[in-house]
Parts: sequence; C-alpha cells; structure tokens
Amino acid sequence: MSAPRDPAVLLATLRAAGSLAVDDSTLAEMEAMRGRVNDTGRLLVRCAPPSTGSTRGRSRGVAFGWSPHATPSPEDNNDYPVRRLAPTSRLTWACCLGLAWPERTTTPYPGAAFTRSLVIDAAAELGLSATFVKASLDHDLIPAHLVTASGATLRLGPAAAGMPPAFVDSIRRFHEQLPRLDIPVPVSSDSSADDELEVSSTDVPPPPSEEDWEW
Amino acid sequence: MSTEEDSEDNAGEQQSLPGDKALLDRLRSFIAPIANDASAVTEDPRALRMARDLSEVFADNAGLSGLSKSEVEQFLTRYGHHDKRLFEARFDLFVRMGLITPFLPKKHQQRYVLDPSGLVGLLVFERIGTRGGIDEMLLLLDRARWMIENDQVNRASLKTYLKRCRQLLSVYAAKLARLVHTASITELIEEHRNHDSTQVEKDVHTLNKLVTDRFPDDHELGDSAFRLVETELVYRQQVFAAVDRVLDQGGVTLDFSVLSAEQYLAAALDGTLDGLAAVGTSLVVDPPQPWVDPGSLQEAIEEYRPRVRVSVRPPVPTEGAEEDPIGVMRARAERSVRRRALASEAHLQGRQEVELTSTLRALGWPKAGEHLMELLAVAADPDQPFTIELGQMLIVDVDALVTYMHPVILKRANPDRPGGLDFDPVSLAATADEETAT
Repeated sequence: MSAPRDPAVLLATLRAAGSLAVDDSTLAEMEAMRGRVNDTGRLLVRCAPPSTGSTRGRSRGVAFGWSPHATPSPEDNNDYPVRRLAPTSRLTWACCLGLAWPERTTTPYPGAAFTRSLVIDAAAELGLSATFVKASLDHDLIPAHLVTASGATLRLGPAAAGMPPAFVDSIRRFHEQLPRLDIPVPVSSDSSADDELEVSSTDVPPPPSEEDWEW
Repeated sequence: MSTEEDSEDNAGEQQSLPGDKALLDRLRSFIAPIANDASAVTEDPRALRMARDLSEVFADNAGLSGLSKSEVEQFLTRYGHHDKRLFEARFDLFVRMGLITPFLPKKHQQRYVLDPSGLVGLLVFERIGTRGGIDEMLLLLDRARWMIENDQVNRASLKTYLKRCRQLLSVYAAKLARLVHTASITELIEEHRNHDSTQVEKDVHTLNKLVTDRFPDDHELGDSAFRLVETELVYRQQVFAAVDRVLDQGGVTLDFSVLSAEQYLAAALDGTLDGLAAVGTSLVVDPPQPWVDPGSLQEAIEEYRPRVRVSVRPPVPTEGAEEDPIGVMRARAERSVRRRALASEAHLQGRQEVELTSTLRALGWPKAGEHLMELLAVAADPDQPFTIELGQMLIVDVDALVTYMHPVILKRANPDRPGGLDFDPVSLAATADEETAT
C-alpha cells in the first residue's frame, strides 16, 4: 500500500492545472485536501477531470470553488486584488454561457457542448469580430479553465464549476440576455456532419447523479 | 511623550531598521579592541540615525559661526522624526566625547561646531559596517605594495605588513568556511557580495613578486610572502565554496534572490535559448484566475447589444394646415385652361370660325399681344378643340397702337363638336371677369 500523497502537492497540482483527477485518490487524501481547502474559505467542487485524450467516461475530478460565506467581492473593495477580463473576453464568455446553458432552471455546469463557430456566430450578432472571439478563447478563457477544448468541441471548464452559487443565481436573473443563437445548438453524432461538429454523444459524460456527489 | 511624537518615533525607527541594526552588530567587534565595557556600542539604531542627521545638519548649516542647540534641534525636525529625549541624550554625549565641540574653548558657550574626525569616523563606521572590513584588507595589501614600490618601508615593517595581511586572509577564510556550513543562503549571498577574490589574488601575487624581486636573498621575507600566497589560495577556495553552495542550493530551490538584477539581465542577453528554457523546466506556473462577476458580465452584454429603435407613427396632421402649394398651382392652371376655353367659345359664338384681327387691333398694345398668346396657348393644348390660323398678309398701321399685325382666325378644330361646352354668354362673361380678377 503506497504512502498517502502530500495534500499540499495535490492542491498545488489542482491549482496549476485547474482541476485534478481523483479516481485514484484515497479517502484519507481527499479528507486531508478538503480540510486544507476549507481552512482557506474554499471548497472542492465536482468537475470533469483534465482531459487526457482518451474517453473520459465517468471519471471524477475536483476544482476549487468558493464557500458562500467567504466569497470575496473585489468589485466593492481592493482587499482581494483580482485579474479582470477585457470587455471582448467577457462578452465571449457570455456567449459560451448562453450556448452551454440553454435552460434557466438547470445549472450552467457541465452544460451543453458547443463549437467555436457557434460562439463566433453568437458574438457576430452583437457586432464582435471573429478575430476578437478567437483571441479571447485562445488567450483568456481556455487558459483560465473557464472553457475547455476537446478537439473542435468546447465545454464549460472547471473554473465554471467553481463559480460561486451567488453568481449563478445572479446570472440566472438575466439569463435571457445571454447571447445565444435562435437555432438549437446541434450536437449530432452523425459522422458525415460538418467537420466542426465532431461531437459524439458517447464522449459527453452524463450529468452526475446526486449519489455521485457523496465522497 | 505625546501621540505625535510616538508616531514620529515609530516612523523613525521603521526607517532605521533593519540596515542600521545589522551595521551596529558588525561594529561591536570593530570597537571591541578599544571598548571599556560590553555596552560601548549602542544597541539603538536610532542613535546611529541621529548621529548621521546631526552631522548633516552641522555640515550643511553651521557655516563659520556654528549652531546653537535650539537651532540644531530646529533643523533636525526637517528630517522627519524627532525624539526630544533622544536628541538631548545624544547631543550631550557627543559634546562630552568631542564629536560636537563648543565654538570657543571657554565656559557658557552657546554655539557648537562638528569635529571633522567624528564625521570621518561616521563614514568609516558605515563602510566597515556595510562591507565587513574587506576594504581594509584590500587597503592594507595595496598600501604594502605602494610602500615597497616607493621604497617607503623597511624590512621590519614589511615583515609586519606581510604577517598582518596573511592573518587577515586567514581569518576571513575561516569565517567563510564557517558560513558555508552554517549560514543561510541569504546571509551567504550578502557575505559573498563583500568579497572580491579576483582583486585579492591580484594584489597578493603582485606583493609576492615585489618582495621576491626587491629582497631576493632574504629567505625569511620570501617565506612570509609565500605563506601569504598559500593563505590567499585557501581564502579563494572558501569564496568559491560559498558561490557553489549558493548556486547549488539556490538553483534547486529556485531561489531567484540568488542573483542580482544585473546578473539576470546579463543572462537574458548572453544566455542561450536552451539554457534559459532550462530554468523553467521544473517551474510550476500559477496563472492568475480572472474574476468575472455577474455585474461586469451584464455590462459587457449591454454594451454590445444593438439598441432597438421603435418606429413611432407620425403625428396626425392638424386641421387648418397650410394649403398644398402644388395643389394651388394645379388649380390655377386648370382655371387658366378653362378661362381660355371659355374665351375662345365667346369669340366663336357658336360658329365654326371667326376672324379676330380687328378685335385684337382694337385691344391695343400690349393687350393685343397678351390675348394673342392666350389664343395660341389654347390652340396648342391638344385637349382643346380650337386652332389658330395666322395669315401671311402683313397689316402695317403706323398710327395704330398695334403697328404690325397678321390676320388671326380662330377655328373650331372638331366640326362635330360645335361649342363643346355648355355656356350662357352672360355667365360666360361673368366667369371670364372672375378669372381675370383672380
């Protein structure tokens, strides 16, 4: 039986990669990680593990979230300096949210899969050039783990899973304003479909059931 | 002490620590040979700062007449902090020890001046406290070399100089060896920066050559010089050992404080791409997570969403609006056409044709011309059943108002339309008058 891994190393890996696969983590390791994380006002939230190129199946992963009572408010004071996105990147993120979150009553994460061209089309309706959309995806949203790319398919990333619940409730209030296309987002398993729509339903992990959230 | 003085003292204490504290710690061993007891060197860094400030005040403001105590205190307030009790204590001490002397050597002197030796001493203390006395060793080597080159030293003095240099190098080498095994990386880096092994090696070898050349037959001096070279070698080995430990341990722990900013710049400019890339091989990057709150998200959406313009029905025109000018012009043209047609019918009186030459001549000029134009206009209108025939005969009457005239015959164009208009000669005349008045 191997020695338990240092939770500090696991948390550092999680912080650097955005998410951490916990399929091979023991209960003691998870407890140690959770204890350390709770002490800092954060939470471990369920998310899709980092993509390794193979079929994800029902793999488990965790990401950092915020405790409801410890969520900072950088917009009100400068006690917690944060990095802010440019307006074009925020709008691109809004388009991704709108495409991945079609129903207000559901949670945004994991959401529906979408493609880069759909994001460009949704942003184009608001007058945002495709150049800015691609730059925002490649240089801001994907490196920040807000969006993950798997080939031509995009999904909301582990950072979206860690959005504070208060944020989700606030965005739900203006859910209808999120940019989205009038046509339904095609998620087809037809292999003869457009090259950009290489999405197969078997690659999309099903939403986790309630019992899966129990550690 | 008031609250303002406490805050000023704290500010002054913050400004003096930790550099002055470390300097005072080094100076204790420097003062030890002449100290009366263990408390010879003050432990309060504020005292050192006070000494500096006092020296500057005297140097900048004393002039030729010196300064009074109250003037010194007043000038000190410009340096930010001022502790009156500390000032009183240090000023009296400086006066007793001769750093500050009365302007004239007699009693009840109110003006004071700064002794230059004290100021020089302050400079020496700062240099020694900062560099750890390395400069003194280099000065000693350089002084020995200069004295030999200028024949300013005898054999006994030279022997003493060589022994002192060797002892200094030996002590510094031992200190470095101890620091290599016990000190932290930060202390080792700070100590290493004070040592210039290249200069020491150069000076020692130069000194050794001079001794050998000037005193070739003096084996004792030659042996002293050789032992100096041996000690320098040990010293240099310890300097390199300190560097090795700094680089090894600092490199493993990715301690970026190992190198100075200039060394990083030199590495960036001169290093190879592979060498620079190897720095980040085991480096974990923690990118700053952007913060996207709902408010900023909504602002971005509203900023880019196109504004919908609702088209509003134009207001209903109110009654009594001004007349349509185009309609007025059309009505006037219709009335003119009708008037001309009626006039033509009036001339024909139901007949098919009538000669109007005498009628026009009777109208005189310019009415004859105007009436003729009216007849021609109605004849040119394709909707009117009238034509005008102009005869070729020219009637010339120099005395008449119409001097030149051609015969004018009005004809009905369509014989099947005798008249074409229902009219009463009386009402026709009345209508013609109305049109004329309009």
